[in-house]
Amino acid sequence: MTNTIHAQNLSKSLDGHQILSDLNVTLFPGQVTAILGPNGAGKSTLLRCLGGLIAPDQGQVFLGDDDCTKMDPPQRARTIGFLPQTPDIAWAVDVTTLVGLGRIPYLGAFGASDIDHLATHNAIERCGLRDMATRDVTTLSGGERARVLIARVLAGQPQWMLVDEPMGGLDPGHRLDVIDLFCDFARAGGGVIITLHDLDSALRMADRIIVLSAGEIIADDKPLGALTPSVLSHAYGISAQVIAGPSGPIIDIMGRS
Amino acid sequence: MNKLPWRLIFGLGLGVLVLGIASLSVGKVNIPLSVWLDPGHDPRWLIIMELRIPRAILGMAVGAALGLSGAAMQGYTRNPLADPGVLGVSSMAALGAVAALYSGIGYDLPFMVPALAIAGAGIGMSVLLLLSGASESVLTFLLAGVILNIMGGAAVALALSLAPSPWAAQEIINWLMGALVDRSRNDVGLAIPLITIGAMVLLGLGRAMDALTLGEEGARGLGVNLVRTRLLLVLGVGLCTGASVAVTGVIGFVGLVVPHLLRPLVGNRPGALLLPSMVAGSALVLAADILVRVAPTTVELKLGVAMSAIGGPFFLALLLRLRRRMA
Amino acid sequence: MIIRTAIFSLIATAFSAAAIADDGGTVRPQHIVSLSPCLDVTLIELVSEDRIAALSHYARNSYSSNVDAAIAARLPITYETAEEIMALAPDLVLTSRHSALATRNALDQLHIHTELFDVPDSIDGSIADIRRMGELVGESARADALIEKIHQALDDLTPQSDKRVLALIFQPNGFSPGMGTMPHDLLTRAGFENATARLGLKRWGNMALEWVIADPPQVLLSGAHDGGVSFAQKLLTHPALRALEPQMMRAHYEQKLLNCGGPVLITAAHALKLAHDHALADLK
Repeated sequence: MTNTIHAQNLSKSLDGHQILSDLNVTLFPGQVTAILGPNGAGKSTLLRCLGGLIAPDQGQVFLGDDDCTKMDPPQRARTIGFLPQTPDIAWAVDVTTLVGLGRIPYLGAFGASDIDHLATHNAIERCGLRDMATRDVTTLSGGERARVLIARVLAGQPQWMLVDEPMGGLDPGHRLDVIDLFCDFARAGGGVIITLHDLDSALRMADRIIVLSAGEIIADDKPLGALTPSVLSHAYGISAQVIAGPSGPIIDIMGRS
Repeated sequence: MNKLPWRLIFGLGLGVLVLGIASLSVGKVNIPLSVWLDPGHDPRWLIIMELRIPRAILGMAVGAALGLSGAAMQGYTRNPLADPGVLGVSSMAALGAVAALYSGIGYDLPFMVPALAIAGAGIGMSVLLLLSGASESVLTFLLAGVILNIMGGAAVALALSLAPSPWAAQEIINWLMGALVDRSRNDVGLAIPLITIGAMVLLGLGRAMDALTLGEEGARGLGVNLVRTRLLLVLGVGLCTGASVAVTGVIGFVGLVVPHLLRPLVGNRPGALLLPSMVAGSALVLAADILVRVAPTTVELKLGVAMSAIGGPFFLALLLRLRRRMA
Repeated sequence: MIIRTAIFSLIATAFSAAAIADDGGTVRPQHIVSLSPCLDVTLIELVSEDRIAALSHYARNSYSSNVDAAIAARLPITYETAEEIMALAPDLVLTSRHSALATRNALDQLHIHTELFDVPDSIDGSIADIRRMGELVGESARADALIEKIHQALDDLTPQSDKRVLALIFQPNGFSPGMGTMPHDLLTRAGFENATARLGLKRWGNMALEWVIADPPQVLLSGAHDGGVSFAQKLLTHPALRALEPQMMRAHYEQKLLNCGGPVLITAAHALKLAHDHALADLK
């Protein structure tokens, strides 16, 4: 049974700047929720608060009935898989080792068990990485590396995947691969919360879109309901609209508003 | 996956054993086999018991402490150039030890020497983390360490120049270029328990080091408590480096060379590097300490000199290889 | 440039030589500066304090100087720099081979009368130095009296029995005198056999602790190790030495007694005589 994530009266400031102010939102499993908004709107901060990585100044985040900030960190990590924005991989480990890092919240005193190995193996299979399992991650292309990092989250068998800007540096083909992985995860009952800059990717995968501007939610709806011309103008300062393309909705940008 | 490379560790352990035996058999006085076979009757047996065994044990312990400290610092900072000697943690420890010893506090209360050395190393490590914490740049980190090292070394020299003992000023070199000569069982008793605790603290950080492969945010996402990790790192490096420096002075480069050589052998996983680095550190210091004793010099070469002679060019080569990443 | 300097120093030498010839030993210097700890001790024995313009800075260091602390505190000192010395306007500066060459050269350039003493490595050499200093300061009678006292102390040193006791002077860092040094000479006169001679140590050296343990002496002579601790001093309290104590007597002999001859010979002879008497009593 997957729980909801619920943020209540969430406020957070960093270095004296108010990033999030009195935010309320409930996120549901089984869907991909995209958080959009201009640079500095507080997307990443919101995501980190929802994932329990940072504690809010005010308000609470609940995972089901549990207060996320008071949870035991490994337990939280087993439930919420967090994929940071373009993580630098510090050491030249092989793909299997890197994916295996996702099992860290499960490891007991005696290291990895058969269950851990199986979970790692399954994640590698699921992301189509079998052929490169022994390769050094630092030699992989951007697209391959993105899949490896997603496999790392999947290896942790979380109920939730919180993903910060996964599309940076990916070509269209690899974007589709990554989108498919997230959608599959949601279809299997997991919850995905993803921050995005790329509106087209959001339209393609999101079941729900939340638009942030200056730390406040200005839209929260199904994709077509959220990305109205006025919201786009307010959030990004552009004159744009969602139109029906031959294979789904696309964004049509006319210019600065 | 998360297995430790036991075969490598046992192999290195065997090397330490062989070097340990070799270390017992070199020195100014040649001790024939008959003395070894008939323990306790020849006066030279005292040389083995009171000089060479403490020296070999200290060499092993100090090497282990420095190798492990280096591997842990590199793992936490994700920087292959981190080393307690190169980045000033050791010279800060030396400053603590010197302050305790030459002020005379260490004469009445011998434990104050390692205690202040550990405090010095802990402060050095904290300063390093504070200065480098703001940015993840390799350059900032190295620069912070270099500055710390210069200031620590200068403070040691100043403290010794001002010390009342007439021998103090000559001993600047002993502190900045460590040595193991004529250490006693007292030094063993002082250093070993502290190094053991420090090593246990650092060995417990393996999983956090692994998680940090994904960066700080990635590690936090995997449920790693970074504040706790940082505190334990300061404590562990402080204990290991501080207790070592308190009895031998600064021996640089062990923590730099050892993890770097072993990293490919453990699949580059920082957590798997800790225990092998500890064992290989023992081997390296024992080997260097044998070398300084068999080298045909009139005054015994300082261990730190030998180590720097090996480590300096090594550091340079490493820096050249990393230049692309740093630019 | 070089030629000019050479000519200049030639003239300077001629001047000072003329000055000594003129005085002919009748004029007694009234502002004497000593730049060496060993010259300090002898100078104090030969002239009254009002004629000493300054001692060396070592005089106030009780570890290395044999000068009485009260006298050292009363008299001015210099740190061996030419400007300090010049400011004192001395009529005689006693320098040793240990004094910085640059300072000695500077004093020559300033036409200050300097007298260079070698560091003697024999008792005879030291006695010759006392006699020379006596002449320089115009106190030959006091010099002779001092020499007589030294001879007396050395005579007293000769042991009753001709039983040799193996001894090692072992100072911080294992510092020890070998053959061809005054302490070696004193040890021999006192009825000791210097252990370093067995290892062929010539002049000075540092004894490895392993050597001491492998072939321990009957008497180990070391200074006190109080007031601050260093690696050097810690060696004297090494547990290995303590383990040897049943078979090795330890006796007190300050490191500063190694450094100088002159009146120090008297103190050194007394210390060695005491150690030898104890050792003979112990070994019986």
